Amino acid sequence: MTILAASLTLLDFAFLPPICLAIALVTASAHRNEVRVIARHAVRSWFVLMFGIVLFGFALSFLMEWILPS
Amino acid sequence: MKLNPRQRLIRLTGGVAFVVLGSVIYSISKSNDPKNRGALVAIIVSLVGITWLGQAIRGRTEGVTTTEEPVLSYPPISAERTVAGILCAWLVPGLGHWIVGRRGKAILLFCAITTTFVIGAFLGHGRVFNYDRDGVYYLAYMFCALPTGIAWLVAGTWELDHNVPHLQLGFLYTSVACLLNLVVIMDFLSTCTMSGKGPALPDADDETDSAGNSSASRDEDGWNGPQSDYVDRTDRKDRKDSERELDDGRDDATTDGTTDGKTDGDDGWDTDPKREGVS
Repeated sequence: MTILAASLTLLDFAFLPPICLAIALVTASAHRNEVRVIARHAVRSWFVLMFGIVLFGFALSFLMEWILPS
Repeated sequence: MKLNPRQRLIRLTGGVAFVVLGSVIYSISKSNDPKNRGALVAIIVSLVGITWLGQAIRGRTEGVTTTEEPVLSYPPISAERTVAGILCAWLVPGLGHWIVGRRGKAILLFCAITTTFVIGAFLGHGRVFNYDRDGVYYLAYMFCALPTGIAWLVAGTWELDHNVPHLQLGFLYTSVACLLNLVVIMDFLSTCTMSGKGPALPDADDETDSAGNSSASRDEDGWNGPQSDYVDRTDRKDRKDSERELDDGRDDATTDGTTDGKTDGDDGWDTDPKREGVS
């Protein structure tokens, strides 16, 4: 059951860092005007986004493999 | 906004439901539709679900991270300038913030969005802008006019004449970049509507506008004195930077070289005493 999910590696998420950085920068800049403050919060958001998406990716791959018929 | 336990539970279950729904939509689209047109819908639904999950985990709705920055008072931005800024922000990412004086933020937003867009164009080998073949993605592209327009003019007729291994990634990057510009436009609108309504800076001088109203008379309108109940967690260094930024903004706004903060209406400082909030 978990063959497909187990084959999911971190390489499959290699596309994540640039797009997560862009999302983090834009969302962190809302209601903030100082570049330094924006950057500080954007970096924090970036890590949270990346790890969150990776974790959910693994969780969802297990879930979808369980739901969908082979 | 803080969430009570019931709201957190609703966000948690709703977030999981949206993420699962997005995954199901993606799977069904991928298996039934050769063009996988449901992918964009699936991505949007999943993003909503992830947002709700993040809010449920954090217990707040302000975003992934938040800071209790004190709201600084900027010169109010007129309605004409707001409309012009929205058009500019729609055309070029960050241009709206540039014309109201948030230069650093404008450059940051421009670089982030444009870089993402260009990366997407390269990943897709330019084959992500064909309206006839992939028109559904223009639902996202329409929020960022100039980069999309240039890309469409250059590569709008390019055919898929070879294997593009990262075509879907190209679609993802370009559409997310354009959707992020929508966020930027909304932030610009928020900036304009909040301008001039926050508490004044601690070192605000007593100023007299063209109608002869002293700024001291604006106390009743809340322009002077602290209104915010924010807990100031910014560093003193950041606060000094923000004060410096406002001073720079005031200097930029003046037309006669003075630094007393007085500007004419063309620069966004609406000195009309009939304006709401000014006695």
